[in-house]
Amino acid sequence: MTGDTAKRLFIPVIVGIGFLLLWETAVTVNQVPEFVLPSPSRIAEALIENFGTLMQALWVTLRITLLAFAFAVFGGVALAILFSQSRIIEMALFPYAVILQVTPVVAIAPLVLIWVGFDNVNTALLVLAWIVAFFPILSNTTLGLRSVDHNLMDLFTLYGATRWQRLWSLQLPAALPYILGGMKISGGLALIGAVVAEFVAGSGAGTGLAWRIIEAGNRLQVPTMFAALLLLSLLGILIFFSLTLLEYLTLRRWHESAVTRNR
Amino acid sequence: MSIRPTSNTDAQQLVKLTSVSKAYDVGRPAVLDIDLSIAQGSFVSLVGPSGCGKTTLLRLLAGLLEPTQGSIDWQKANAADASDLGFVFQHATLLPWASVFENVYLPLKLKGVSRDNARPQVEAALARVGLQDAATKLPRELSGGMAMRVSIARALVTEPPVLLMDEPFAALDEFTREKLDDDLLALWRDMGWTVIFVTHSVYESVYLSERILVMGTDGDEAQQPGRLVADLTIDAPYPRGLSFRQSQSYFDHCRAVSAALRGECAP
Repeated sequence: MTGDTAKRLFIPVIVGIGFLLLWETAVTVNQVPEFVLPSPSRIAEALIENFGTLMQALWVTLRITLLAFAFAVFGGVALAILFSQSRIIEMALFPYAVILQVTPVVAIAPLVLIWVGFDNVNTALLVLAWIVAFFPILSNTTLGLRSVDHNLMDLFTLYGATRWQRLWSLQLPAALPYILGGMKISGGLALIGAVVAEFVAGSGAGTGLAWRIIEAGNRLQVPTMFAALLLLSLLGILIFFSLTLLEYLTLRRWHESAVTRNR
Repeated sequence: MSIRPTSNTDAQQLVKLTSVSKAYDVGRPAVLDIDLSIAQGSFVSLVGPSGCGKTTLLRLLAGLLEPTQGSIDWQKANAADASDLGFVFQHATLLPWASVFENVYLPLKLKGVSRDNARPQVEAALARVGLQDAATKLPRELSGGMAMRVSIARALVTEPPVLLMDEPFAALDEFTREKLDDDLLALWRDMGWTVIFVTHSVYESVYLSERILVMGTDGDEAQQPGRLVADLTIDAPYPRGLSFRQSQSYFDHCRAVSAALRGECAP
């Protein structure tokens, strides 16, 4: 097991280092101009030079992403619970949730910006990131609440369980693997939503990583663009691993997906 | 050993079904015109091929389904209140995230009994099925037989006078099944339950029951509704054991049940 884990970490790291060395060598030997493709060492320099502004931008993007994600989890689970309690409400609202999901966020962004006002760009970004992140939670939780073993439902009926007992002691725990699966998708989408919204919001007020990328691009500071991109990737990876860890810690004791087996 | 009534006629009736039929929304009725009464304290098996309505009848008795026609009358003192029924499903049907203790505690929890107050009852129920040391285990750590024991402990934790069992041991291996059959009989004799036991195994039904209700369908079509085709009494004394399983009378009874099944299900 531990040997396997070590391999799992070790092999990608080796590949990554090899790739960076190849990149560095190729750029240096062929004297590729910096504004076309900077070398990894030059990107690292740019990261250090602009560390202050980039960290500030990272914080802005991170905050919007996390807030949007938190609202998405809260709203998605709450709405799914409402759906599970009333078929009528589900029939009435679910199609609109789908419409919200399938309409490209880039297309809604200008409207949201007008409504919220350019003075509150951060609120607009939050709303847009939330729209993107919300649906996977809603749809996964709805599926999870519906997938409860019908014999267990009968058992709760036999013992005269109340709606609340049924929800709290049966449906929500049974839906937990689905909710966590939705969260893993939604965490990545919240970041994508935040970045896309920032791009669309455009000039002036934006100070997140996406804005840094646009700004550096306009000035042909390609190494800085790469540095900001690197930070975005790291942020995405961090979110994904945090949620995977949360899923593992929550489900490892009982759920098939998280139980370790000897092969 | 306690003395139990072996005859159905002089015992107190627990439940009486009068021309009960059940049709689902679409298609044929599942069971048709069932007239039946079950004596208090008896061990009754419902035997029949798949799709003949055994489970439907059990669910009607449990109140999980409403009859389309006819009536099911429980004796007043034994009104089919949730607290008076224990139900054991075909699979163990445990909460996978909850420990054995929590699973057995569930019926009491749903009635609002606090964990501390329920503890003696839960521990007693676990001890009855021989799982007092497994309270902290999770369902996935249990064998099939152990999981089924937890399921039985959960059914008896509320001390119900009636236990309904829907092919509870069908998924278990022969050895485990025979062991659980014996344990179930011992519990039944101790607790004074009425047990209504659905099975498709002729051998199991003969071994366990005082009375066997054979269900079948009219004609050779599987689309026909299920009805009662025979009502047999197994008069062998309890406790039953290996000697009964190997006796001539056991085989005679099995033959009679099989004949009843064949006679009506595949004419």
